[in-house]
Amino acid sequence: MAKDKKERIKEIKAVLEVAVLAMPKERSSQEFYRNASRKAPGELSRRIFEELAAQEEQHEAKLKAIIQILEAELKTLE
Amino acid sequence: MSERNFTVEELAQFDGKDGRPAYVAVNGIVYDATQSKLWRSGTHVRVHQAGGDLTTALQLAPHPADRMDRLPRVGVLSAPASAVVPESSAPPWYAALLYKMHAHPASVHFPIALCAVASLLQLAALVVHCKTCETVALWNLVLGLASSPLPIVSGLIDWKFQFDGRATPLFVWKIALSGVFVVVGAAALSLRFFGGEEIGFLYDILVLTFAPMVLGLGFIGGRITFPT
Repeated sequence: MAKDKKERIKEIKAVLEVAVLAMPKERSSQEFYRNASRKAPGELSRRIFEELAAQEEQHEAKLKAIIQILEAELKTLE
Repeated sequence: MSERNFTVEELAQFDGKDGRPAYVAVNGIVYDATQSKLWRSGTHVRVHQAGGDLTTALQLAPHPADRMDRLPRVGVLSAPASAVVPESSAPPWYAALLYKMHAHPASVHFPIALCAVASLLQLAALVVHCKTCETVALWNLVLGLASSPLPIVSGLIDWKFQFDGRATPLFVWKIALSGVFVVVGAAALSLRFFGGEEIGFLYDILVLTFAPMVLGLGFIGGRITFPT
């Protein structure tokens, strides 16, 4: 049981690290697509870039939710 | 019939343990999961615990959110958690500027390179008794340490605002090693300028530690920037 718990803590920490490291990339991508959208020559490309930025925003929100859940679980284990 | 109103504290009592009912809240509605085989002892798939608000967790669940409708509804939760994960607050202007200018990656290579060269030249000075090597090693070390405040400060600011200051193992190691770098640097220079001849070997040892130390810092930085 103690071994299971240790394994689970290790697993959570590893996944947490992945999620934390990925966050700035999602934020940079949002900014990248928003800038591209501002510079887009036509309405269609502007909308596509806006859509891509919104998707990146969703990724960031999901990462944050994952972090929230894992941190809560970690709290119960430690 | 009016529904029961649960506070967060009241809901926490229904955790499904020791024969207590297992209630969970989603989008402000409290459901009874006591009879569900998927919520034995108040735990779902070893991760989710009854007695709490699972609105955020359900957004990430591999099953549709309407699966909750299969459970009996027993009340509403006062002040439920927002269904959407809160927006990140914008970093302050200086943090945004440092990140935009790539201040940390642009400046971090100076102390790494200068201190690694200091170690190598100090080794050469010891092996071939080269006085010039010792002098050049010293000034590489001085310049390496003098160029370290910007990468350290910008690295800490990036960590705080880009990674939300989360103390994952990589960041703990990087911050700890940076602290050791500063302390060892200050100690080495104090020994070199104020120490006596008889403890000169201590200075040699400290300077030699800079190569592995900056390699370690560079390795951790690489793992953060290019995670595998």
